[in-house]
Amino acid sequence: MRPIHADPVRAALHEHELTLTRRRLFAAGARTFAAGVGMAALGSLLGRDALAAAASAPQRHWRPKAKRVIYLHMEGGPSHLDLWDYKPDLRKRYNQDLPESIRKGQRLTTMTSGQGRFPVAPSLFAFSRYQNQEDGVWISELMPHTGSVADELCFLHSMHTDAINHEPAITFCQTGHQQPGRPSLGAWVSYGLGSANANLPTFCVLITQGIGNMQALSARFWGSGFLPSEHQGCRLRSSGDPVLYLKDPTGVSRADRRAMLDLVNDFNEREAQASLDGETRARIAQAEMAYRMQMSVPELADLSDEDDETFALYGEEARKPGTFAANCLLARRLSERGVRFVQLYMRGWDQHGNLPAEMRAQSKAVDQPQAALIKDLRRRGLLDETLVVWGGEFGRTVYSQGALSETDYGRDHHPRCFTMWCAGGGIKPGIALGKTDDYGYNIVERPVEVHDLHATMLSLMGFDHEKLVYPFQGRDYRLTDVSGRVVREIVA
Amino acid sequence: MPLREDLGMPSTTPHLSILWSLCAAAASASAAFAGDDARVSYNRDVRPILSDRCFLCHGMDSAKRAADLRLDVAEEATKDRDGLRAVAPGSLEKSEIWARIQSSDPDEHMPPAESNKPALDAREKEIIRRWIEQGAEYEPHWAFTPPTRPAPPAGPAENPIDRFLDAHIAAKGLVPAPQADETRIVRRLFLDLTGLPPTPEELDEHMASAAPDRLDRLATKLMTEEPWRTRHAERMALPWLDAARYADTNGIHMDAGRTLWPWRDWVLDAYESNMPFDQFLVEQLAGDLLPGATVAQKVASGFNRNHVITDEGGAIDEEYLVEYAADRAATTASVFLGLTMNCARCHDHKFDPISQDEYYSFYAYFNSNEEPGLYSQLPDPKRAFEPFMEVPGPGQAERRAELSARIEAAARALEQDDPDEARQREEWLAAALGSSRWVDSRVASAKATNGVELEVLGDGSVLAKGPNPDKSDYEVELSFAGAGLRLLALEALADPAHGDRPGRAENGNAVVSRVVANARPADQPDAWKEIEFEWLWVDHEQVDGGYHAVNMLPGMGDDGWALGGHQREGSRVLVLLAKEPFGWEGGTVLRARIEQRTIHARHTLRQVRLRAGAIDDAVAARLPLAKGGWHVVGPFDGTRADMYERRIGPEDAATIDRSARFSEQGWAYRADFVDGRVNATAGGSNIVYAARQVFAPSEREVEVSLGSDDGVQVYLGGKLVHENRVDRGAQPDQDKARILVPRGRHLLVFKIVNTGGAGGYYWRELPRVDEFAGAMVAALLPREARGKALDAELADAWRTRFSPSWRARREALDSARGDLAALEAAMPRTMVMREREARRETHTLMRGRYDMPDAKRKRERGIPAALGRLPAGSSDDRLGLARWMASAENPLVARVAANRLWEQFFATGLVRTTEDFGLQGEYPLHPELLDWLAVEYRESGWDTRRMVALITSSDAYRRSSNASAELLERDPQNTALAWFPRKRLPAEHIRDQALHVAGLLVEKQGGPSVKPYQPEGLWQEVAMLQSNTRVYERGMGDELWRRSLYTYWKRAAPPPSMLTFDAPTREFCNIRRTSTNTPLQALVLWNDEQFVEAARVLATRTLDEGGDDRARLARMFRRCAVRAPQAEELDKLEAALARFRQRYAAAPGDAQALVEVGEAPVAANHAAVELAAWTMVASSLLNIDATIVRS
Repeated sequence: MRPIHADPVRAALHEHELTLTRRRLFAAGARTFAAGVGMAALGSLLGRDALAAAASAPQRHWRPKAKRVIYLHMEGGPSHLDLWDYKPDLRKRYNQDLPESIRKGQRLTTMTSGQGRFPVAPSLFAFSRYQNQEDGVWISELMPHTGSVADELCFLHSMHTDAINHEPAITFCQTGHQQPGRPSLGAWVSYGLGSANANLPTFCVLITQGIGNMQALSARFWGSGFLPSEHQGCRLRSSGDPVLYLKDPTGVSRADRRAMLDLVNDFNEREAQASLDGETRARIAQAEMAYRMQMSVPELADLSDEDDETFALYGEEARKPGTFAANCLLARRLSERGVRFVQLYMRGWDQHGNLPAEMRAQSKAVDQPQAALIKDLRRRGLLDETLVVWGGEFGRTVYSQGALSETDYGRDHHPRCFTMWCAGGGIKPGIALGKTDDYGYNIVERPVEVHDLHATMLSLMGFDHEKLVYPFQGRDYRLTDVSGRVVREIVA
Repeated sequence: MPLREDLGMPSTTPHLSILWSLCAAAASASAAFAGDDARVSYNRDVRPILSDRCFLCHGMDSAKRAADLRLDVAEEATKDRDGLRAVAPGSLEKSEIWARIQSSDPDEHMPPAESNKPALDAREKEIIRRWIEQGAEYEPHWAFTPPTRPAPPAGPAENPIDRFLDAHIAAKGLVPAPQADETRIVRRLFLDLTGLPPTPEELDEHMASAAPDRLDRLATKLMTEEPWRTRHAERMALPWLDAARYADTNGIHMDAGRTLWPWRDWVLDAYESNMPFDQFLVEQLAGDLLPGATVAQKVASGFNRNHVITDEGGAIDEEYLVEYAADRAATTASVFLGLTMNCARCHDHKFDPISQDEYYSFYAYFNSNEEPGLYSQLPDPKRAFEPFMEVPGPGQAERRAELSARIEAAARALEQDDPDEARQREEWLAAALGSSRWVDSRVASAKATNGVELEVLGDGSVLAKGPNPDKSDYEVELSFAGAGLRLLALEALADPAHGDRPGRAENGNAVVSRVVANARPADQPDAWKEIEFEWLWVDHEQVDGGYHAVNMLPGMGDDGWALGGHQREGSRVLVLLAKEPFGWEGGTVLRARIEQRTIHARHTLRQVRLRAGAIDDAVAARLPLAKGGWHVVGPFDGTRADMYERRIGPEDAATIDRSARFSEQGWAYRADFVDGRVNATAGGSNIVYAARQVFAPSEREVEVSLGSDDGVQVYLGGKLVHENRVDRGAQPDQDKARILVPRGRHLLVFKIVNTGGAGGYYWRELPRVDEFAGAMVAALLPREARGKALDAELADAWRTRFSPSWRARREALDSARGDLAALEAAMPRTMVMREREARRETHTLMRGRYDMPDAKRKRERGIPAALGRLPAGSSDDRLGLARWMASAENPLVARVAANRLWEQFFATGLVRTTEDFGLQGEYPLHPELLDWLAVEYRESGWDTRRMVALITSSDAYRRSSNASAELLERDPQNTALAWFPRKRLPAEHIRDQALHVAGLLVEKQGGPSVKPYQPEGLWQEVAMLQSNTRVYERGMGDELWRRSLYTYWKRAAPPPSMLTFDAPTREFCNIRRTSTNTPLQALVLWNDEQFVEAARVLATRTLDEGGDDRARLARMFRRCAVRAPQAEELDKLEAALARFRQRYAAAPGDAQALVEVGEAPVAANHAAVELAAWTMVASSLLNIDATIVRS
C-alpha cells in the first residue's frame, strides 16, 4: 500500500487515485489485469496518469435511478399531430386558414415560407383512449401496440427546440448544441459512468433505414466532441461485422488469434517493464478486451437463442437484421449486458408530402417493436433501471405543406412543440405532462426544452447536469450548456 | 456479468472539480513553495486561483458582474468602497476577500455555494495570504505582453534549450535519464520528421557514418533532401490539417463532396520549401488580398473556407453566414493566437479580457466573403463551392486561351447569316405550314378575380394591374371571324421595366394551373361551347418541382405550368391544340379563363396576349409528342425468375396518380431524369418503374433508342410494346424500338428489371425527318409572337435539319466548346476567400443569435484592446490583421507557434493547453524557455526548419524514454523533461508505417483525395438518397496505398480506422488530439484488410530477402521496431513461427484464404502455408508497442 499522505492535497489525490484504480480495473476487465500487472505497475500507471485522468473521471452526484438508457431517435421529426397530440376539433377546421393569432408570424422554413396560405390539415387518423395511471391518454390508430403499454409511458406533450432544420435540430438533440463540436449524450454518459461490461463498448449505436423520406445521419451525432475519443459511440451494424473489424481474417482461427495475442503481450510486457509506461499496460488490457469482444459481440448479435415467444412479442420482422424490430431486440440484449447507452436511429420520418401513406408504413415498422421493448424489459425486471426515451428532433406543422385533400397532405418542420415519451428508469409511469393549443401549434402548459430533457436524463443517471463538466479551451463545458432544469414532475 | 454498482463501487466521492483544482494547485504550488518566505507569483500562482473561483462573477463580463466588483484589475480590486477594500495590499485584516474566503458563514463565504465553485483549500488560501502580505502585486497576463529574449542560464550545455531545462532539473535535484541508444534517436528523428521509420539500410548507413555531428546532419538531411523532404512536408502538414479542419465534404445535410485539395497541396508545398511562418500565416489569412496576388496566394486563402457549410433546403442565408464568419474567427483565434475567442460570441468573455463588442470587431474581418449562406445542391461531388477559382496545371492556361479564341471565331462564323439560306428557310416554312394561319382578333373584354385589374392595351395584350393576390383567374374574351380553327396561343409577356420577367411574384415567376376556353357564335350570346385541348407546346417550363406544361391538359392534376420566370428572363409562349375545330365564319367570341390557383401565392402573369388560329392537318400530324416529366416507383424486391412476369401495378396505370400505392410505394418525381442520358436507379436485384405522360396529336409510329441495366419492358397504355430480357449495364442506344402511339393521352412505363448490381435506363426518341421537333413548333407562330430568342432557336432548329454548311459551322463551335468544357472539367478548382464589393455591416448579435443584431452596437473591424493596437496605416481588412499578427508587436503568435512545434516533439507543449494561452490556460512549464524559443523563431526569419533542427539537437530530445522509478515518483508528469516522453503514433502514421515497412507505400505528392479500403456500406447507412457522397467507391491500385493524409475525408462518416486512433472529425478546428486506448484499436490492427495485407506483403518481402528463419525474423523485427531483437525475443518469434507453420501445414486451405486478403498480388514464389505463417508473425510485429509507440 502507498502511504497515507499528511498533506491534504496529496491525500485527496491519493483518494482519487484509488477510485480511479478501481474504475480502470473494472473498465479493463478486472481480474486478468490485476493479477497480471501487480501493484508496482499500478503505481507507475497512477504516477503517470493520475493527474491527466483526474480531469476525465467524474463521479456520480447521487444514487442513480437509471443505470442505462435506450434512446429511440425518430429521425426526420414524426408528426405529433398524427401520433400523440390529439386535436379532435381540428376536423371542423379542415382547410381553414391557420389564424394569424396562432402562427404569430414566426419563422418558417424556406420550404413553406412562400406558401400563399396555411390550410389546417387535421389528422386523417382516428385516436383512441388508452388507460394509463391518470385519466387515460389518446393515441393514434397508427400506434395500437404502443397504446397497450400506455400505463408504462410518460408523455411529454410540450417539448420544444430551437432549430428548424434537421441537421442543427438533430445535432442539438444529440449534443445539446446546434453546431458541430460538442460531445453527444451517449459520450457524456460514457464519460460519466465508464463501462459496466468488460466485453462490450459502453455506448452503442444502431441504425434502421426507414420507409419514408430519409434525412442524413452524421458520425457527430454519436461522436465524442472534445471528450477523449474512447467515449465515441460504437456503431453496431446489421450487415458485415457487427462491430467494424471484429471478425478475424479468413484463415485465422480463435487459437491463432490467441497465440498471436500472447506473443504481442509478451513483447509489450517486456516493453512496459523497461519503460514503466502505464499506457503500454493499458493497451495490453484493451487488446484482451478486444479478444473477448470478438466472442461476446457475435453472441450478442446472434438472436437465435431468443425463444418464439420473444419473436411473437417483437414481431417476425425481428428476425431480419437491421429492422427496427431487430434493433429493439438488440437494444434489450445490450442493456441486459450492462451497456450504458444504446442509441437507436429510425430514419424516414420527414413527411413533407404524402404523409398519410408514409406514416402508415413508418409507424407500422416501429409500433409493435417499441411496445415489445417496454414489455420485454418489464418482464425481465430491467425496466425499472433502464430509461427508454422516444422522440424526433422536432414536430410538424398543423397546416399542410403542398396540396391538402381529404386523403393526402404534408407537414413542414415545427420546432415550437412536439411530443416525446419516456419510460422506466425512474420515470413516473402512465402520466402526461404539458399541453399544446387547439392547433397543436404553441405550447400552453409546462414547456420542456431539449436541455431540460438532457438535465433530467443525467439526473436519473445520478448526475447533477451542472456538475458533470469537462474542462476544454479554458472553460468547463457541460451537456446542457448554460440552461437546463430537471423536469421534477416526471421523476418517480 | 457484474455491473459496477453491484460490486460495491462508491456512488459518491469527492467532487471532481475539487480534485481537479487540487491537482492543478499541487502542480503549480509545488514549484512555488520552495521555502516559507518564497515570493508568490501573481501570474503563476495567484491568477489561476482567482480566475477559476472569482472571475466568473468578478471579472471581465460586465453583464454577470456581481456587487460591481472586479478582481481582475488592480485598481478596481484595491479601490476603497465605503471603507472596505476587497484587496488591501500588505494587510490581511483589511482585505475583504481574505475574510470572505475564510468565513464559515454560508452567506458570507466566497465563492458562494450556488456558484458550484469549490471553496479554496488550505494551500490556495496560503497562496492568497502570502500574496496579500507580500503586497498583492498584479501582473499583466504573461501571454499578452510581447516576448523579449531572456538570457539562457549559465551551464555547460551548448544548446540554449538545454541550459534552460538543465537549470530546472538541477533546481529540482533530479538526475535526468541518460542519452538514449543512438538507434532510438534515429528512429525518433525519422518518425518525428517524416512520419515513417528508417529502413534497415537507412539505419545502417547512418550508423556507419564517422561524422561526430551525424545526428544533426541526419535531421538536416531528412528535412532538405528527397525523398525525405516530401515526407517531411507530409508529416508537418498533418497537424495543420487538423487545426485548419480540412476535409473533402461539406459536413451538413447532403454532406456533398467539395474540392479544396489544392489548398492542402499548398500547405505541403509551403512545408517543402520551408516557407517562413509569417508568410505562411499571411497568405492563409489574406492571400487573396495581397497586392498582385498570385494563384498560389489565392489558393492559400482557402484556409478560411475549410469550415462546414450547409445545403439544407430550409436554412436561411443569414443564419449560416453568421456561422461561417464565427467559425473563421474562432479558428483564426485558436490556431494563431491561442485564444478561445468564440466564448465572447454570446456575452463578454468570462475569463479573458475580450468583450462581446470586441469579439464582433474581430469577427467583422471574416464576414464579408462573397458567399451565400445556403448553398445549392448539384450532383457534382468535385464541386468547388463559391467563391472559387480555377487552378490551371502546366499548359492549361495557354490551352484555355487558345480554345477561347477558337470559340470566338467559330461563333462569329456561325452568326454570319447567309441571305440565301434565310430565304430558303422562309420559303420552306411558308410551304411547310400549308394552310395554317392566325386570325385577326380583338379583345372584347378582360376581367380578373380577387381585385386584379386587366387593362387592354393597343397591341392586343392585357396588362394585370392593382393588387397581386395569392390567386387570380384572368378572363379574356376575343372576338374574331373564321371557322375550322384549332389553335390558341398565349404569350406571357415580360416587361423589361420589371426585370424582364413574365410573372408578378417577387422572383418573377408565375404558375398557370389551366386555360379553360369556351366559344360561341357572335350572334348567339348563350351558345357557349367548351373547347377541349389535347396537346400543347411551350418554349420553356420549370423542370425542378415537376411543373411541366402538360399539367394544364385535362386529367393532369393541379400543379400547373410554371414559367420558370425566376430562372430565365424574357417572355414565354404557349400553343394549345384543340381536339375539335371551333369558330364560325359569321364571327366568334372566344372566352379564355387563365386559372392561376396553385399553392404558390402571387405567382400570376404580368401581361398576356391571346390569338386563335387554324392548323393544316398535315402540320398537325407532324407535331411532336407533348411529354411530362419522369416519375419513378420502386425498387421492388424481385428474383431473377419472376421479375419479367410479375406485374406490380404500374404497368397498367393510365396516369401518374400520386396517391396510388404499389406494395406501399408511391410515385416520386425525378427532375434529374432526362432523355438522352443514362439515369441511375436503385442497385440490387429489383424492379424499378420509370413513367411519363405523353400526348399525341395524331396516331404515329415513334422510333426510340433505349438502354437498360439490366432488362427492360416498355408498356404503353397497359400494353407491352417492347421487351429485352438481358443482363447488361446501361449504355446509350442499346436497343431500338418502334412504338405505335395512338392519338390522345397515354402513360408510357419503362420497367427496369435489375438482376443485380447497379441499375439504370436510357431513353431517347428519334424524331422523324419531317417532324416539327423542339423549337421547330415555333414556326407556327407569327414572327411578332416569337421574339428574338425564339426566332433564333427556330432558325437553328431548321438549319440543323436542312443546312449542311450551317451544321458544319455549328459542329465546329460545339466541338470547341466541348473541348473547353473538358479542359475546364479537368482543371482543378479550389475554394478561396473573395471580399464582397460592399462590406457587410457588423452588429453585435445579442446572445450570439443571427436574428438579433443590436442596432445600437454597430462594429468596426478591430482587435481586442488587451492584445495591443494595430500599427498606424494598417489596412482595415484581413491583410492588415494578418500583418499585425506576424509582427513583433503581437504577443501571442510566436509563442503559440513555437509551443506547437515543441508539442510535436515532446508530446505536450511548454504551455500544455496548446489551444489556450488565455487566463484559463496553463502557465508555461518553462516560461523563459518558451519566450526564448518564440523570439528565436521570429528573429530567425520564422525559419521553421531551423527551429526543428534546434529542438532535435538538444540533449533533452535525445534522452532515454525509460523513466526511472525515482523520476516517476518525483516528477510524475515529467514537467522537467528529465526523460523523453513516449507517445503512441498518430492514426495516419500507424497506417503509413505499416505500408512502408511492407514496401507497399505509394509515394506521390498531392492531388485529389483517394479512397483506400473501407468496410462496405458505411456511407449509405447515414447518407441521404440524393447525396453525391452516398456510395463509397473504393479506389484502385495505387490509391489503396497512398499516405493517409490523402485519404478522402467525409465528415459525416470519416475513415473509421482513423477515428478509432483518435483522429478528429475535422468538423471544427482541432489543436490537440487526445490519445486513448480502446479495444477497437486492436481490432483495426488485427483485422482491417489494410493491415492484414500489409502483414502479408511484409512477410513476402522478408521471405524474398533470404536467410534462415532467425535472420529473417531479426530483419523483419528490425524493419518494424528499428532495433535488433534480443536473443530471447528472437526465441519467442521463432516459437511463434513454428506454431503457425504447424497450424497452417495442417490446414492449407486456411493458409490460402489468409494470404489472399487484399488487392496486392500474391507472390507465387512462396508456398501459401509458409507465407501465412510469416504473415501472422508480421501482423504481430505491426501490433507491438515497440512498433506503434515512438519511444
